[in-house]
Amino acid sequence: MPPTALAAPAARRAPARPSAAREGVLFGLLPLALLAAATVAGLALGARPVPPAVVLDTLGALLTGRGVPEGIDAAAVAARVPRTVTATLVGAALAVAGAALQGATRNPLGDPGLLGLSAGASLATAAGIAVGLGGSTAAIAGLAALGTLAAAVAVYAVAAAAARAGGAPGAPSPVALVLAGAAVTAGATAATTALLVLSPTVQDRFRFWAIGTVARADLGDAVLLAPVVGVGILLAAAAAPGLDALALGDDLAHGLGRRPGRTRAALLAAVVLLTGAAVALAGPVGFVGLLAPHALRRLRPATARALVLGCALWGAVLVVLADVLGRIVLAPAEIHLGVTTVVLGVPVLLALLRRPGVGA
Amino acid sequence: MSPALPLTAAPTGPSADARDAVARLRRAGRRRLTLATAGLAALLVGLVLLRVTWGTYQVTVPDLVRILGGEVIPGASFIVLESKLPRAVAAMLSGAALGAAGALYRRTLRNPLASPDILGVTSGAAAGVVLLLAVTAGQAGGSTDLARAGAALAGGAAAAAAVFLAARSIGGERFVVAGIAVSAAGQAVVAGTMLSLAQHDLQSATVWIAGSLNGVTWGRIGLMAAALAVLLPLGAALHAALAPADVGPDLAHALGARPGPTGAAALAVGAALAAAATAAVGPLAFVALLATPLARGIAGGRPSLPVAALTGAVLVVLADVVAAEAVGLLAGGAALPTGVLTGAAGAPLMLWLLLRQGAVRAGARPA
Repeated sequence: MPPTALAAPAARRAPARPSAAREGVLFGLLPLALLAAATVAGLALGARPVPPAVVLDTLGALLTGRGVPEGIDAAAVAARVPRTVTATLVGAALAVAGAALQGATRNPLGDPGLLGLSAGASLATAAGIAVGLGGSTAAIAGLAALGTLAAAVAVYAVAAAAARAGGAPGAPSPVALVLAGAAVTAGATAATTALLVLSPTVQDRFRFWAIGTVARADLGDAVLLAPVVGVGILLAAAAAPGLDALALGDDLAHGLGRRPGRTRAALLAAVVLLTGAAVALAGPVGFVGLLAPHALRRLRPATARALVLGCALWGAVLVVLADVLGRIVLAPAEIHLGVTTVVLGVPVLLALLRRPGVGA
Repeated sequence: MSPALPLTAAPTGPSADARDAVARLRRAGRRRLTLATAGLAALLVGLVLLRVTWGTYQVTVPDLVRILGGEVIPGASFIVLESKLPRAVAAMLSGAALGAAGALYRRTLRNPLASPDILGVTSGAAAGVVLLLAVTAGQAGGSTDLARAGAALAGGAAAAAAVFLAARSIGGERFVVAGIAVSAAGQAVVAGTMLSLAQHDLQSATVWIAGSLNGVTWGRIGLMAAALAVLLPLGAALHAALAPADVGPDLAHALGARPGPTGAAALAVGAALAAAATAAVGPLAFVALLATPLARGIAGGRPSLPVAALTGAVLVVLADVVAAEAVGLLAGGAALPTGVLTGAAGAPLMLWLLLRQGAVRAGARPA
């Protein structure tokens, strides 16, 4: 079985080609319907539950520009709009980033959090704020993207050098990447904490942000970064056909007329855009990139493009629901998004470790 | 053990010259170990003295002697006995515990990256303590130091058990990644629970969670010292008993050792040591990971639990001097949590260990 399992479903189920209708339902219509339901749930549930009729009423009023209707219920719904929109964007971005990382590194343990990219983005943002660059959301997103890129390069370089030193040149093993990611995460977290302690400016901006959360989301930021997330998803979807070939190994991919280097570069660019935007919006939210693609592979997408686009929708559903869950379990207190996704994601990672070709 | 025995057993044994050469080498190795132990102990005493006397508030050595002799010097007595001395002692003890725990894990799992902090024991212990704080938040008196230590031990043990269950076996790369995952879960529990703490508990927990010697009290130090008095000799005995395991499980069996049960006991003692340190000073990142390879280098490649414990103690006291006093002198009164410093120093070392390929090569081997 190839490590990514991207091509595996097709091989296992060779005789029956999936119908386009099945693809369209599983990776398009069904998650879209669920996303709509999750959005209504996200707006209705929380410390103060609101009846769905009021939610739809308020939503209609907001969308048609009539302003927020009278009443506490309507105000509660309006207050939940920014976090729900942000959760949708963050979920889509992180799930697609995870799928792209897993494909590009042929590594089933690809996740922006697990590989140290989110920690790198956090550190770059904190450093930028410390030297006074963090004035606007665009600047923060740019810093986060730079940090993601630096962390990605560092982790891949160390893991590849380790693979060479270990006498196995070529793509680094999943475990080597995760270990390098853990080291980068630890170092970046320590440096971020140092900045937090030393600089009151950073502490003020970061206090509610060290663990991933959408509780303080701002609609303006979400609208500003939505195009970035869109471009990232489109880039990943455009490069996705190359993923099917990449899963066979670089030599075979060349033989099939693909250019693995170009595919990887496009995927890395998508990962940088998506992770940077997600960290700028919600801070480090772990394990979404691991959960969504692996769950979707169970549904056997025929092509990598279906997987990537499905990830965008299902990831959004996952994160919106995780946010709702965090709000109702301990209501009126909240569990932040970053905590919920980790608690959901760790069992998946432990189960993945038992697969052949992943662990030892 | 007697070096002469196996050599004289064979009738056509090596010549006297070769025997002398081996004996010389062994003597040199032992001498290096003695030298390393003595040198580290001297360094540790010097650093503790520096920690107690030097800093934003300076105490002269004669004054220190008078204070320790029971004399009361207004101001100085309070600062030495309630701040500087407890910090130095706590740094020494927690460093020794973490260094010893790292040496036990390293020898049992035979993987340079397998240390209690990477495998989630420390973050499990931290989660245990924070959960206890949350549960006892409303009650009068809150949590005692003993309950804190118990919660840390339970959390550390739960994390270690989760890693074992997930990886199904001791050793190998699967074990390390399972540890990273459990560690992430522990940190998420800590972060999630902290939010439900009241303001007063939250402040003390925030300081403690970064791995800080700020809030340490003589009560916690006493508990940690008591735990160490039992665990360190036990750990040293297990560490020595595991020596045959260095050549691999099969050969160790052939040599009459039982690496399985002894190894499990060593891991349990190591987890208890790490939990004892975490209960007192919070999760100090990377000390257990750093101390073991450094100790091996200092002792000329010979694994030794006392040298690792001394190295850990030196590391933490040094980190505390830098974090609490040197940074303050440079950055105008600011002080970093000690754990931040060990974390920042430990990350490059972990990358270097990765590059040193031992772990990765093992990862490339089929299970």
